[in-house]
Amino acid sequence: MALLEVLQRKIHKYGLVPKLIKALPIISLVCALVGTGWILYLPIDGQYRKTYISENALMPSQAYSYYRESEWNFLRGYRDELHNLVANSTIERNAEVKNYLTEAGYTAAEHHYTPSNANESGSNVYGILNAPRGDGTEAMVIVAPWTTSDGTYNENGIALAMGMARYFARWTIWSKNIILVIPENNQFALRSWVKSYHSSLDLTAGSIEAALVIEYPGSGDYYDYLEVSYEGVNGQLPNLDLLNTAISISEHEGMKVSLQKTPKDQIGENTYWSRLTVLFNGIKALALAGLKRSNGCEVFSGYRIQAITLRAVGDNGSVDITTLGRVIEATFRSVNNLLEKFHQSFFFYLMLAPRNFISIGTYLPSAVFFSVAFALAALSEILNCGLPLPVLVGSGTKVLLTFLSITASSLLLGSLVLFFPVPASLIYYTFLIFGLIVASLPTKQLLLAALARPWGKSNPANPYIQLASSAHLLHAVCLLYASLIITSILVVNFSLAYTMSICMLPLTFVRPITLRSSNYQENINAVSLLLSCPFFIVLLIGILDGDFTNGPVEVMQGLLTSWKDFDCWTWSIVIVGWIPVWIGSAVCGSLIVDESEYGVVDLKKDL
Amino acid sequence: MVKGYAFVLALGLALELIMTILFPSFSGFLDSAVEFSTPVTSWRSIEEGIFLLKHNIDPYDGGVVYHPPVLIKLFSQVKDLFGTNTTSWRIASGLIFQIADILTSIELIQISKKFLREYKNPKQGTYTVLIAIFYTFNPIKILSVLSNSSIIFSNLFIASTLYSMVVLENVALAAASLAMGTYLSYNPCFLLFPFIGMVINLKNHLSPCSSIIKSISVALIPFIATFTGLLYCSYIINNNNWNFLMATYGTNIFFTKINPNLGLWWYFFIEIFEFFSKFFIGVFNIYNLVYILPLTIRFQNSKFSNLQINNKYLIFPFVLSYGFVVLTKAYPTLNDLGFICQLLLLLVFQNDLKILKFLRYPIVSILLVIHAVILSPIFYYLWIFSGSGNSNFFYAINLVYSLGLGFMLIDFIWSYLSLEYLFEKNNGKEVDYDAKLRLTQI
Amino acid sequence: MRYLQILLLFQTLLLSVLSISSEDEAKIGTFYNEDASTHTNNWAVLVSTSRFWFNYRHMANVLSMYRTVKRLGIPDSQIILMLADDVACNSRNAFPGAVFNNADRGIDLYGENVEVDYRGYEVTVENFIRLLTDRWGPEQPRSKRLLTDENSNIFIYMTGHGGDEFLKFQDAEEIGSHDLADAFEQMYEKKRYNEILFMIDTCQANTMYSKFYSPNILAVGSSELDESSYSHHSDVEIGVAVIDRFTYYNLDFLENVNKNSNKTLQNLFDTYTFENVHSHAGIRTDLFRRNVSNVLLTDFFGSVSKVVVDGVEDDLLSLINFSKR
Repeated sequence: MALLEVLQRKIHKYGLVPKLIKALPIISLVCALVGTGWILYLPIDGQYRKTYISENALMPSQAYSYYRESEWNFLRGYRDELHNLVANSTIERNAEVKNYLTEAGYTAAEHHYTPSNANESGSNVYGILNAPRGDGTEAMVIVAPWTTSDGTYNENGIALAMGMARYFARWTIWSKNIILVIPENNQFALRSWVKSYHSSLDLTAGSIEAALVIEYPGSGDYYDYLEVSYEGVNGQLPNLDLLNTAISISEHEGMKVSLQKTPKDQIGENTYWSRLTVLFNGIKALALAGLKRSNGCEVFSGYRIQAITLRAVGDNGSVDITTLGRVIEATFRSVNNLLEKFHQSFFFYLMLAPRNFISIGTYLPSAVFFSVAFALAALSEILNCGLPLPVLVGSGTKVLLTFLSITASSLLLGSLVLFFPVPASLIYYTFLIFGLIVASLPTKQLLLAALARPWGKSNPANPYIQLASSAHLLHAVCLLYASLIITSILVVNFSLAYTMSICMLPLTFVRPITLRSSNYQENINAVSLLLSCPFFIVLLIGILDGDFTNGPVEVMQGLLTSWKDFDCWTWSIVIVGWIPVWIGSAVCGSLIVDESEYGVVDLKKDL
Repeated sequence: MVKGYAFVLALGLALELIMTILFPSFSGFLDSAVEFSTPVTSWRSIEEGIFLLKHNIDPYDGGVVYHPPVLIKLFSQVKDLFGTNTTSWRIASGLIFQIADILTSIELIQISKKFLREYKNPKQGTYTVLIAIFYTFNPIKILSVLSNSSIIFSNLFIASTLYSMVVLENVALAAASLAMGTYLSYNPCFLLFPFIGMVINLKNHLSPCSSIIKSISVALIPFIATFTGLLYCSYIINNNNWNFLMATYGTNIFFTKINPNLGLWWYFFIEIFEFFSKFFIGVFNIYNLVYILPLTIRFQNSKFSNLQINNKYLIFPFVLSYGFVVLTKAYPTLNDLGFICQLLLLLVFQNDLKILKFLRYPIVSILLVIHAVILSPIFYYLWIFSGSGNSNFFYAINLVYSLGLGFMLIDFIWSYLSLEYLFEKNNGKEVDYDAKLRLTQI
Repeated sequence: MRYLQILLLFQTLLLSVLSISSEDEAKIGTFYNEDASTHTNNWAVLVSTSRFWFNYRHMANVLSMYRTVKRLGIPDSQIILMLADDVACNSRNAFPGAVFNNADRGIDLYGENVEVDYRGYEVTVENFIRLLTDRWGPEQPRSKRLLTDENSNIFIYMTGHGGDEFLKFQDAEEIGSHDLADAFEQMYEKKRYNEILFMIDTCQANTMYSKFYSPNILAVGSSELDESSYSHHSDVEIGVAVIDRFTYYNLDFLENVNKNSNKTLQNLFDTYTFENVHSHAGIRTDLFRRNVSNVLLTDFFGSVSKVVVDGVEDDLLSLINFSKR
C-alpha cells in the first residue's frame, strides 16, 4: 500500500491526471493500434505453439489401418451404383442407400424436414450401427451429403462413406455407436437432422461425440490433397484434439493438409506470411460462419459435438481414395478410444498452420485492447468535451432514454425483418442506401433542424448547451456500449469481436461539429460513419468474396437466415450492438454544436 | 411530490405484474439462473416445502428445503386460498414478492426524504422521484423481484429496521425487524453489532445521560424476544422438531449445498481436499464477520457522527457492514447487489450528496460490476451449456464481481472518511466541500 | 485317526526330501556364508495404479510380473494382485478376454487362471497402505490380506503414472514417497518382513524410493528425477503400447530363470542399461544388508526357501506313536 501512496503522491505532484485526460484520444487510438498489431505479431516465430495431442486416450495412428486395396472394390461397386443415381430424385436415391445400409447391417431410417423458405419437405437418410460390445450411450457420426458445399454431386464421398460403413460393421472393437448420415446437403438439411436427433427422432444412438463430414466430388480414384474445415457458428470450434488427430493422421498417411483453403502450391509453406494468411482467413471464416455456404461442420454447433469437414481436392493427384478411408478409420479408432468427452485440449484457438496454433490466452488481449480503446474514447468524450460534468449529468436521463429507444427500435426492426418474408436484396439495398445517406449527413447538416429543437427545449434560454452536452454524452454512451458489447462477445466469439471492433473503430473519431473542431471534422465524420456502417461492410465482404453484384446480397441473405437455419447469433449481435452504436454516433456526428452561440466562459454562470 | 414517486412505484409494480402475467415461464427461468437463485433463497425450494407440508411429510427431511418453517407455513396458507388454480397462484405469489419489494422501496425512500428534509434541499421532490426511478427501474432489481427470491423478505425487514430507527425512532420495532430478517436468512444477524452502535448513538442524542447498558438492553431484549419467539413458533409448526435449524441456518453456516453462485465460497470448497474443508468453513465464517466489529467501532462516537445533521442516525456502519456481509456470504445473488445499491443511495442523501464528491474511482467500480454482471451468464453458458469453457471462467468473473463490489464499498468508506476529516479539520464549522482534497491516507 | 497317520507319514516323507535340498543350500551357504537369505516364505504385491484402455501396458506389465512370480513358485494365495482390470473385456479390445505383453501375441496373460485381489475402484491408496500395514477391520477376508511375518521376503512391484515423489492412483488420488516410506517402517516395526524388493516402473520412478529409511529394503526404479519411462512397443492391431521398457527387460531376463537358477539380482541389474531402458534405472542398496551380487533372484521372485528341520523328527515319531496308541 505504501508503494501505491508513493505512486499517488507522484501522480499528484506532476499533475499527471489532467495530462492523461488530455491524451485520452491518443491513448485510445494507441490501444486500438496495439489491438490490431497484436494479431500481426502472433505469427512471428516464438509467439505461436506447436500442436500436440493433449488427451492421452486418443493415440492417433497407433493402430494399423486396414482400409486398403481389398476394400477398394466395394467402394467402386458403390460408386458405380451411385453414378447411375445422379439423375434420380432424392427420395429415390435415399431408398437405394437405405437398402445398402440395411444390407451392411445398419438400422436405417429416413428423416423428413421442411426448409424455412419452402413448403415441400426434404429428406435425409441415416443408419445406425450399434457397437457390438459397447454400452451404446455414445456415438460417432460420419456425414456424406448428396451435394457438396460447392453444389456438386458428392459421388466419391458417399461411395467412400458407404464403403467405410460396410467395413466398420465387420469390426468388433467399437465402444461407441456409428451413425452414417446422408443428408440432402450439409446446410439446412443436415442442421435439421441434428436438431431432430436431439429432439424428435425415434431412432437414435446416444450422445454424439464427434462428427466427420466427407466431401469428395467426382468419380476419380485419386486426389491431390485434403482440405480440413473446422469453424462452427457463434465462435464455436471443435476441440483442438480432434482437429489435431485428423491432421496428424492425414500427414501420417502421407497426404498434404490445407487449412482455410490454402491453395495447392502454398501447402506446406510455413513462413510468416503463410501463417498470417491462415490466421486472417481463419478469423474471417469464423466471423462469417453461418452467413456463407456451410462446410457442414457448423451445423453441429450448440450440441457439444466436435465436428470437422474433410474435403478431398483435385482429380488426379498422388493420393488414392482409400487413403481418405484410412484417415476416417484411424480418426474413428482414436475417437473410439476416448473414455470421456473431448475436454483436454483447447476449445478456443486460432490455427496458423496445420501443426501450429495460438491459444485464447495469447490472442485475447487483442480484443481486450479494442474494448479498452472504446471505453477510453468514451471517457475522453466526457472529459475532453469542455463542458462541466454536472451539465453532462443533467442531460443523462434524456440521453439514456434516447439511446435505449434507438436500441429498442433497432432490435424491433431487426427482428421483424426475420419474421416477414421480405427479399434479402430489398432489405439490403434499403438499408445500404439509408446508411449512405446518413453517413453523408455530416457534410450536409440535415439532422440539425430535426433533432436540435426537442433536445434543446428544456433550456430555452440556451438550447446549445443542452444540445452539446447531449451530443457528447450520447456519443460517450454509444462508445461505452460498444466496449461492453465487445467485452461480452470477445471470449465467446473472438473473431466476431475482433472484426466488429475494427469495423466500429472509425466511430471513435466522430465528433459533434464545433467551431473549435478542424475544417476536416465534417469529412472525418462522413468517412468514419461510412466505413463503420454495417451494410457498407456487408458490401465490402460481398465484393471481396469476388462477386460484385450478388455477393453482398448473399451475405445479407446469410445474415438474415442464419438465425433460423443455424441458430447463429451474428444478426442479433449486429442489431443489438452494432447498429445502435452506429446510429447514436451518426446522430452525434450530424449535429453542429456551435459554441459561439453561448461561449464556454458563460457556461458555468448559466448553471 | 408524494404523488410523483408513488406514481413511479405503481408503474414499476404494474410493469412487473404484466411481465408475470405475460411471461409465465420467465420467473422459473430466473429461478434457475445462478445469478438470481441459490438453494437457500430459491422459489422452487419454497414450493417444494409447501408441497411436502401439504402431504404431511417433514419438509426438512429430504435436503431440498432451506427456508424457515414460518415462511413456508405462511405461503402454504396463502396457497390454500387458491386451491388448484395454478395460474392465479403464480400471479398472486409473484405479487407478494412485488409488494414486499415496493414496501422496501417506500421505506427507503421515506428515509431519504427525511434526510433531504433536514437539509432543506430545494430539489427534494425531483430527487425523490429520481430515487424512485432508480429503485424501480433498475433492471437487476426488476429481475430479482421476478425471480421470487426469498431474500426479498429479508431485505424488507432490514429496510424496516432502518425505517424504524430513522423515521420512527422506535428502537424496539427496529430490533424486532432485524430479528425477523435474521430469522429469514441468517446473515442479517451480523448487523446486530452496528445496530447496537446505532441505538447507542441515537440514545445519546435523545437523552445524553442514558447509560450504555440500558441502550444495549433496549436493543437486545426485543431482538432476542422476537427471534426466540419465531424459533419457538417454528418448533411448534414443525411438529416439535428442531431439525429445521440445521436445514436453514446450518446450510448457511456449514455450506452444505456447494452450488456455483456469485460468491467466493463455492469454488474454494469444490477444489479443496475434503479433510481441510471443516477448518476452512470456520475461516470463511469468521471472514464473513470480520469486517463488522471494526466498522462498528471506528464510526462510533466520532465528532462527525455526533454533530453533523442526520448523522445521529448511524446508518453508515450498518450499511457498510451489510455490504461486506453480502460480499463475503456463502450464497449471494444479484438481488443482494440491487439491495446494496439501494442502501448506498441512503448514504448519499444522508450527507446531502457530498459523499459523491469524494469517491475516488466510481467509474472503475461501476464498470467492473457491470462487466461482471454481463459476463457471468455468458461464462456460465460457456461452462455448463456449450462445454467450451470451464468453471475457472465463471469463477474468474465472480472474482471480478467481488472486486467491483469491494471497490464500491471501500470507496464509500474513503469518501465518508474524507468528509469526516474535512469536518473535524474545520471544527464542524462551514466546510468548503468543493475544496480539492489531496489525501493519500486518512 | 488313520487319515492323520497318513498325513503325518506323508509329512515326514516330504520333510526328508526337503532336508536334502536344504543340505544342498547349506553347501551353497558355505560359499556365501552370512549372505544367504534367512527367509522362509515369499510374497508378492503387484500393483497397477492406472486404469483406462490407453494404459493397457500397465495392466500388461503387472500381469506379466504376476505370471513370472507364479511360474517361479509363489502360490496365488501369496500374491496380492491389484489392478483396475478394465482391459481384457474392454469393448475396444480386438482380442476379447485376452491381454498380451508383446506384439507377437505369444502369451495370453489373461488366459490362465488369474486371481485379482483388488480390482477396479478398490485400487486405492488407502487399500494399498492398509494392505502393507495389515490394518483391516475384522471383515477383511484372509485372501485379501498380506499375511507376512518376520521371515517373509516380499516383492513389491508398482506401475502406473508417477511424478516427482508421487504415484497416481487411477487419476483420483496419489501416494507420496513419504507415505510409502512410513508404511514400510511400520511394516518393519511390526515385523512384517524379512526383506523387501521394491520395484517401480513409472516416470521419475527413482524418486519414489528416495525417502525409504527402514532396513532390509532393496529398491529399483525405472527412471530418475525429471525423466520419463518409455513404453517398449505397440501392437498395431490392438492399437496401444503393450509393455514398458523397464518391465520388458526385467521379464526378458526373468523368462530364462527357473526355480533352481543361481542367477543373482546383480545379473538382473546388469541388464538395466540406458540402451535397453532409454532412461536411467536406479538401484538403491544402502538399506539392504546383503550384497546384491550374492542375492538369488529366487529369493524374491520365486518361492525357494530354506526350511529349518532340527529336532522335528523325534517329535514326529513320538506323535505317530501317540496316535497309534
